[in-house]
Amino acid sequence: MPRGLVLLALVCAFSFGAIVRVALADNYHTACVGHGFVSGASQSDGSFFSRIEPGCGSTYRECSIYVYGSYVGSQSVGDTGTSCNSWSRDFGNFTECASSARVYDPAAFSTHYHNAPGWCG
Amino acid sequence: MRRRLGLAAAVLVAVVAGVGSASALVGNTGRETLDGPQAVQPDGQGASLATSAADPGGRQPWAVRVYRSQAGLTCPEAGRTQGGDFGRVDADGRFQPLDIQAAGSCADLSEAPLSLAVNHFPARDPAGSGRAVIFGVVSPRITGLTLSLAGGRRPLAVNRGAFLAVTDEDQLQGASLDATFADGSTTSYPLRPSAAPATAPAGE
Repeated sequence: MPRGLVLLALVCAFSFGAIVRVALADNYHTACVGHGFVSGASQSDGSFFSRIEPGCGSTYRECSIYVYGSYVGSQSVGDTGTSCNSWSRDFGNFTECASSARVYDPAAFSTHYHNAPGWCG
Repeated sequence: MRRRLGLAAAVLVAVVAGVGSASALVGNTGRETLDGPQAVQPDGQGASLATSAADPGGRQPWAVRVYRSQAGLTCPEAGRTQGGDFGRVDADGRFQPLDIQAAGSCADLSEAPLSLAVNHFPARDPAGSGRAVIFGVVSPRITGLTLSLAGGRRPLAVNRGAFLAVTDEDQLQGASLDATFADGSTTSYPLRPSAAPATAPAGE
């Protein structure tokens, strides 16, 4: 078997694995600081978090919760050492798989959204 | 035929190896989704109700409960209180108790002078203002707090290391929490209304 073909297959397989793995982990990731959508005890109990960890010199951060695309509440923190941690239960009972976390931390990354695992929105 | 079978087997082995290698490289992100970082996970020793404040709308009072995380951080959480329980008040006025979960705004008070967070509740009436709940905990290095809102300045009481203020969201325009330290110095922490849009962009 041509050695080049085997090498190509290995490279393609590695890329495939990386894409699949990162896609599955996309609800929470690290860009300077960990942030995103965090499920509670399960992915369907309606208890979940929008979260931004402290770090990277960030001060003002805001972690917000959206359900079916509508804003339901958020938390902001204004110092360097506090976790921004917005809990869905503080705002009501929601369908977890239709929920998203909006994360704002201008010192670490541009504002973006993370959807729940098993997204159904 | 044998050559094609060999190629298929090689590709299959390569896919498995590739998935395994990539999983090893990105490994921990999935675990955090289920468990949450240790920094905010409660240590299992319970929580204490530290302070409370009247609700401007006349419903159940607001409160701050504080727990310690598995990593040893101090974690305040804002909610409502009724009969000594901690929870949430729904739109119909009913109180819903809330178990202790990894919901605190945690900070290491051996390093940071305070934990400061604001919970933003959108207005139920489109013409009204949302509710802002300003809360946190302070280290012993802080001797006083002053809250500056659009409507004026006032001292903010600290009870059992925690503070709490409930106001209209529009009062946060240009607002700050000013901390006075034991050495007489002061630090001002800016507060802002929520910048979250009412709806997420399409496709998000």
